[in-house]
Amino acid sequence: MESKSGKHKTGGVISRRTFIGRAAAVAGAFSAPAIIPASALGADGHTAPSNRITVGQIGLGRMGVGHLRHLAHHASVEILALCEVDRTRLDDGKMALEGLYAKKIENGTYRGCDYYNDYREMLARDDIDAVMIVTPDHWHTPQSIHAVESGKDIYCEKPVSMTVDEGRQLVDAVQRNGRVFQNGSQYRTNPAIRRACDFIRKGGLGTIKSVFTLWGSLGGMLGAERFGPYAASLNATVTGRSMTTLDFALPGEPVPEGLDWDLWVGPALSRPYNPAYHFNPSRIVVPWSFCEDFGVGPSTWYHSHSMEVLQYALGYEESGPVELIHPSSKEFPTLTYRYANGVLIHLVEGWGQVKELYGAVPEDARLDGNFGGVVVGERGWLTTMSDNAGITGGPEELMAEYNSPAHDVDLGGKDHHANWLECIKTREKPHSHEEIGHRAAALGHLTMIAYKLGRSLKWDPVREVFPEDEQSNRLLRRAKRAPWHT
Amino acid sequence: VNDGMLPLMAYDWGGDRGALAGIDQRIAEAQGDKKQLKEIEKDFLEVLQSDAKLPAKEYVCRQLAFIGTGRSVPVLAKMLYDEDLSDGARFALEGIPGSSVDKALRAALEKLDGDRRVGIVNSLGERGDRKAIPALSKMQNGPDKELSAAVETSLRKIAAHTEHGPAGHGRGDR
Repeated sequence: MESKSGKHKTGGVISRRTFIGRAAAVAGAFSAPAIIPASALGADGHTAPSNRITVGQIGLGRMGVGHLRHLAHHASVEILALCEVDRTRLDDGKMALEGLYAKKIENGTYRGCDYYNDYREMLARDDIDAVMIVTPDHWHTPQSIHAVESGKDIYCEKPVSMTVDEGRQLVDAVQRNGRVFQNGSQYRTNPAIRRACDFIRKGGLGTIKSVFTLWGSLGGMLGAERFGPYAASLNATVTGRSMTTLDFALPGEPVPEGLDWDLWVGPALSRPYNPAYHFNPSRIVVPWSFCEDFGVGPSTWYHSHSMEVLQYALGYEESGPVELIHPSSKEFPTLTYRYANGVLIHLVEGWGQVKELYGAVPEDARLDGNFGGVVVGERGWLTTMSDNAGITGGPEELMAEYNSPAHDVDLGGKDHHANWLECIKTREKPHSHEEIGHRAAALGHLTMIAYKLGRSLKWDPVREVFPEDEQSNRLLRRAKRAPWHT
Repeated sequence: VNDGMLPLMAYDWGGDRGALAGIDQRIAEAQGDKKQLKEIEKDFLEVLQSDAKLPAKEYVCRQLAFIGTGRSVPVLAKMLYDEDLSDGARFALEGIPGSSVDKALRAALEKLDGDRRVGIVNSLGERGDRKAIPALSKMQNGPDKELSAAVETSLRKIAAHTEHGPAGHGRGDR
């Protein structure tokens, strides 16, 4: 059960091309200066361009621009390409990048950026080392696989897949091509979360009895004001009770100018444009995630984050449960995962259920936040969430021990992006490598299947099948619209 | 068409997804009941052969990927040749076990072109159909780069399935 993180190297050591060779290959938006300043050659504490990791980014929605800003501040990175099927977003990304690189543009140390509608053209470039994928969920695996087959290292938003089989294909492709893959689960590299997980892994809570994390119905999303014009089609009164995504058929509307809708839909079954899939009214909304063709509902919202953190805390980050127990069995009031060592993870729709349905923590326990859960052991309980209340737990003696310097963690000041960039250079496995990202996403898919079928399921986490259950195994995969394949 | 399928017959873009909840429920409750599943499959095939709209037929295809049997194959095989329904038919066929599916896909491979042919190539690869290797091999390195790339991927997947078993039958222990 021990994590493989950091213990294995990934093949395909990054090829260092010469700066001149690279610059000649790039037809950038900005022309190179006639006289190359010292900073461009690595003086003044700067990273010489030939030593920078050249990055292309696919997807410039609100999360995408956030990643762009973060990445541009890393001295070891040079962003050479941006790709987005929505020209408005591409223009916004271009403006953001020019602002972020204003000084470099001015002093002539930036080679310039090219802009693409079709990611395949961007991947065809041999002067890009790594790709950031910040697209809707249904594109994560296809674009990741196409990128690793083009020799790029990957940072991909979570969940990394739309089905269990797709995730396994992704892992195979990353390893077959010897690339570095980081799943975009940033909490994994959050020092506070890491401290809580390490404490649990080292037995700080004693034997783990039960764990709780969130899974909500579609109603939590479909009630949003932006869905108002499509209320008749969505029928949230009925569909809002669904614990899985659904294949909605929203009415068609004119495709906004500059949006390549066919490429946005990509490997999903074709459908007319509707802004509810695409238009993003705020940073935290993943607008497509309610529709089974494009997203994974609660797994997209938080569960793939949470399960990565919790499976790491439990030492199952590269495995999974052996059983999904549906509430119809009456064994537990909510859907529950059982692991081989007997640990149970209960899905709850709100933190109040941890007390009301399970009585697992004291009444005055403060449970708040998301992207993690509540872990209950024989010595006490602890959250693995940093939102709002921060890490909470009890009893007091346990928390005094938890807060002692003995349990400090040292990540060397590295954030999730920095961990990825370092691993691109060292070829080590990142904190959230492909197998870990796949396993966290896969658990969301298994949960969907259990809810869809309305019954408990046995699961073989080694072979990744429902043993002797041909019918359920069919739900582990899904075809793709032609010509797309992985 | 069975009365229970009437919401599907009325389903189109902008249609009420909630109206299909009863059919969703019927499928979930029929698990393990071969007689019920056979009845549902029969109803679905009637919808596919009716003038139901595309979203209704694609809904059916998604469900047949889960519950379909060899009985669905002749109807779905015909849909492979329909420009609008070809992808939906493959969504269903890829999930249905049995050699009749592979045979239908191989037959379509020879007769289709463009994206629909690429789709068939992809499906044969996903199913790990070894009998498709000769036909696929002939399409390798042809002038159509998209087709060639699909064939290359498909042949690799068939080889992997031969070694490790087909999709849905244990891929995690490679």
